Amino acid sequence: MNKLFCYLTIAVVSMFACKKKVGIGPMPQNMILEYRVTNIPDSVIYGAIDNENSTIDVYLPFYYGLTLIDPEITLSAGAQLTAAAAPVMIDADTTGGDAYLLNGGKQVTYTVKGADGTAHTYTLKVWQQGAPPLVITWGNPNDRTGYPNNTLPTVQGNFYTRNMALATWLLTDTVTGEIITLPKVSGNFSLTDSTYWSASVPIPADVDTGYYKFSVRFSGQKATIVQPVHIIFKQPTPGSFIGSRTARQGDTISYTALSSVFVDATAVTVAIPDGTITLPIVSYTRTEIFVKIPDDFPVGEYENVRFRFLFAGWGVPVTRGNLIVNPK
Amino acid sequence: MVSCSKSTTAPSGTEPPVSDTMFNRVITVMNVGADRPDTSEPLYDPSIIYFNLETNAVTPVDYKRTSRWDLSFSGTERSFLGGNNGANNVNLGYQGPGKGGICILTQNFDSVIDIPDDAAFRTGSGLIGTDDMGAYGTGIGYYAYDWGGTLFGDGSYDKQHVAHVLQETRTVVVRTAKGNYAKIKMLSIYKDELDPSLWQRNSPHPYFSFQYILVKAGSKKFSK
Repeated sequence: MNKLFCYLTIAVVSMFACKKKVGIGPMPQNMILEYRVTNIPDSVIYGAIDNENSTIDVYLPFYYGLTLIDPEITLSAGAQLTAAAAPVMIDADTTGGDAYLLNGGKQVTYTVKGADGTAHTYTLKVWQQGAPPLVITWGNPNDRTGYPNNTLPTVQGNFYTRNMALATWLLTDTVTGEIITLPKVSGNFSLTDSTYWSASVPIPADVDTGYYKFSVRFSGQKATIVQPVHIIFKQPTPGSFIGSRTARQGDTISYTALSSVFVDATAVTVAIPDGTITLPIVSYTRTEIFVKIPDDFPVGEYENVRFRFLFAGWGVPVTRGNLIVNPK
Repeated sequence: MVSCSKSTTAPSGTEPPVSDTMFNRVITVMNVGADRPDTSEPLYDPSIIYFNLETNAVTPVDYKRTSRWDLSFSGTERSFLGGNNGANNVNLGYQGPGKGGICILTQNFDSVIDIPDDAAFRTGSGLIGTDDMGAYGTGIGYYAYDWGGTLFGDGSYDKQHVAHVLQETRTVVVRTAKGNYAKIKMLSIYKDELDPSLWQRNSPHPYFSFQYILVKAGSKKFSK
């Protein structure tokens, strides 16, 4: 009984022994309260603000295809940003599940100066949200041949946007490992039954022949088609109608390759009523050939006459054009 | 009773929607843009200008999918105007937040008081440029292309091919990306030169000069 009384006494005394009250401290005055991405139609994306780690994480649904975010920021009462919040560029090529590179790889921070003079700096991180794994295939598995100065075979994939400019196309030489970044395509993916496809990815004229792995970097992911593309030359040609040229005797004129490249050029001739005349080749590149109008070429206007562009080992496609030759 | 205090001060935003000083006053803008390269063709289609009426400044091209611009200058000589609308797939701000549009009235700037109904605003891009009064007209426009120099000049060489801005008889009305309204008096596309009698085919162009009055969203009338 004495022991019980003793415990009760200690308990009652303990209840009134602590008189110090610990309240919640004042809220910091240098906080970002809200971070809103505003440049999407009829909606807003909110950033997750971590005041302990001083970060703002923004998760962008992949289907918006954003290359830039324009934030609106709400601060503690009386606080100001030390610099205005400008739009932030997003590098859609970032891969590997990392946060996007921003403004070309620079760190984006916001420093809030509170009414009490204190400062707090937040770092922005932007992530892609919810994209399914990117898968690309050839449109026709049996058509895997491409030609320099032409386009790749049809490519299809689950891009979920029609904006082809967001994609970066890559060829990797299966022998040397050299990676070639192909020119950006500014057009739209075609869309058929939920499949996004394109037949307009260009192959530069200077690409060597051989087998290449084809990859795409797109919206934070990278995908590669297992079957390589075989790049070969095709019949060199300036096209079936090469337009009109006006020159004087002795001048040099040029013609450009159409969807093919000039290789092993041997001769260019033109058939006029006086006979077939050779136009000596001055020089040529893969995409342009320069020929000379002979000094004794008969002066005249030759409409829709037959040209022959000869390349070693290739046939002679029909080519026609107009040629006006004036005296020197 | 006095120990508990609650702050009622509202949080501050970093960017007020639009400075109040921009509203209900005439703002004059001179020489927006730059002349075309010497070697370009007459129909040269230079890069587009995006202009923010609410800050009176040109917006970087990279920001086209934001509400930081209200008026685009595109097409031939950048002379065709459009608004910022994210819902129209032929608008330069497609898929952005812009809620803007544009229309043109055959009225003098000062006489335009009532803001047109929303249905009057078109949401494409490159909509308003050449007037049917001149060559290559595309309906009601803010300038007449004086091919022969006889519409507004004496037909002399220097007066041919002048883009004659119809200062007194046309007013462009823009609903901004954020829903405010502006009426615009186009003044000239020739650098530093607002006097129509001095415009000549080789005067430096295109430099856009104009005046405008901005009023807040929900307004029914323009006022100074």
